[in-house]
Amino acid sequence: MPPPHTPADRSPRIVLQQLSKFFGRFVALDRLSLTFEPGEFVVVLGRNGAGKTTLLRTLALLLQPSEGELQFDNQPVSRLPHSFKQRLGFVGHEIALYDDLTAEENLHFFARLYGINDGVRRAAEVLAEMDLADRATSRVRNLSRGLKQRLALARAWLHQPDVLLLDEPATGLDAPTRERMHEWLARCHQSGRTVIASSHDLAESLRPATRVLLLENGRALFDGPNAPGLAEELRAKLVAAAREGAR
Amino acid sequence: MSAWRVATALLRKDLLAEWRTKDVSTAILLFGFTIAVSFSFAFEPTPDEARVIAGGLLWLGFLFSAVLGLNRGFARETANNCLEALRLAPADPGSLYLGKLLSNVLLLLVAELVLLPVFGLFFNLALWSRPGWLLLILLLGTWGVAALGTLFSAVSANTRMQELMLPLLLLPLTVPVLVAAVDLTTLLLFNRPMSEGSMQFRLLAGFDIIFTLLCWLLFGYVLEE
Repeated sequence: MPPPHTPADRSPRIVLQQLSKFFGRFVALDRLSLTFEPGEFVVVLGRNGAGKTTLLRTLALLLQPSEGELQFDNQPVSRLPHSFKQRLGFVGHEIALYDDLTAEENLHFFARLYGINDGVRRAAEVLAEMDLADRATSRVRNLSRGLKQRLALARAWLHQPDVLLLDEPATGLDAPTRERMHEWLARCHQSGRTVIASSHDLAESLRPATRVLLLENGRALFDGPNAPGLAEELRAKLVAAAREGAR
Repeated sequence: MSAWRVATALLRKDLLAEWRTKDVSTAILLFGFTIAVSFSFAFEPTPDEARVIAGGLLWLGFLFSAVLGLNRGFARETANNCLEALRLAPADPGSLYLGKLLSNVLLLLVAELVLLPVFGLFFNLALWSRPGWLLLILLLGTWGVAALGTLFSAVSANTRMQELMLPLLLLPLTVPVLVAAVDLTTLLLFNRPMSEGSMQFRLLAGFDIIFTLLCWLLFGYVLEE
């Protein structure tokens, strides 16, 4: 089923200008300047601690930049209304779902939070889309890791955001489910949405991407369009970065 | 999106989760019951002494039980990092505060209404002689504790000493609520005219309004990482 409405021109243009994020003395993002055009599918790669999660959390408006500026459609984030968050969907390392509620109860709650009028119908749609319809009445605590992850994706997709921000979304998913997730992400992308996803799996994650961003120490080590043979080049860069880091 | 819609969504979710788990209510009730029994055996008051000290013991019991309940209530948001999902929502943080406050007030009030007969039994008190005034005192006192407690439970959720931090922050600041509520409860127990407590009523109402507004404004800062 193709993702409904949201034309390509609705996705915002995202601009980072000399953006830095510090945690105490640790520099997670270091004067990063990037532009994400509407409708791009960007895969963010990098070693552990390279800044992938911080970048995605900053884009999801969960973290405020320490320095520099983040803009959506030329608007600095400080000027964006709360309602702008309606246009963003985010899945982080944790599922952010209530253990004691069922899958559908969780989605009904978030539907109300996002002001979705027919939340019950929409929740049923999303559960079916994620192959979770038969687990709708199961409590989250009784679901397997993979099912929880799919439900977390369903939560992020519930309000049909223009920008999907996914931090290692394939975590805990088996191979067939990962395949289905990639197909679903490709459909989201084809509908004009911007998808920015981090990953550790170089070969698999590159397939649907239009652009690749490789981070190292909070800086962009590589930023360019996806192309055949890029995986080898990136692997070499990652190995070199790891050797450099070990010195 | 309306703040009320967000607040009621949060309230419904909390009540549903509580109905399933009984986490908060069990903690409050067991702790409150233990306090009532302990105080009763520790003081062994005569009926006259009981009327003098019961107001204080009752509210101390409610306050300590509330600390436990507030901590557990917010633990629901930190499990699986659900707080992150709330921060992602296109909702004003004030409406999230309002939802959490309403669910805390409701759960605390219900627990207090269950604990009242327990205190009445152990201290031989006629608490229900003027039920309207009793409910008003309970509502105003509980609202004050919950208004601050909701904010501080969010503050302490982000600290390492979560269980310790909430009482450290909450108890000193709720002294005015405690004093006023104890005075009013004592007036009630001695069957004195409630007009004698007009100052305390105004203090409680003023405290509730000021701290509800203040915490409503500050909740967004507390939610930030």
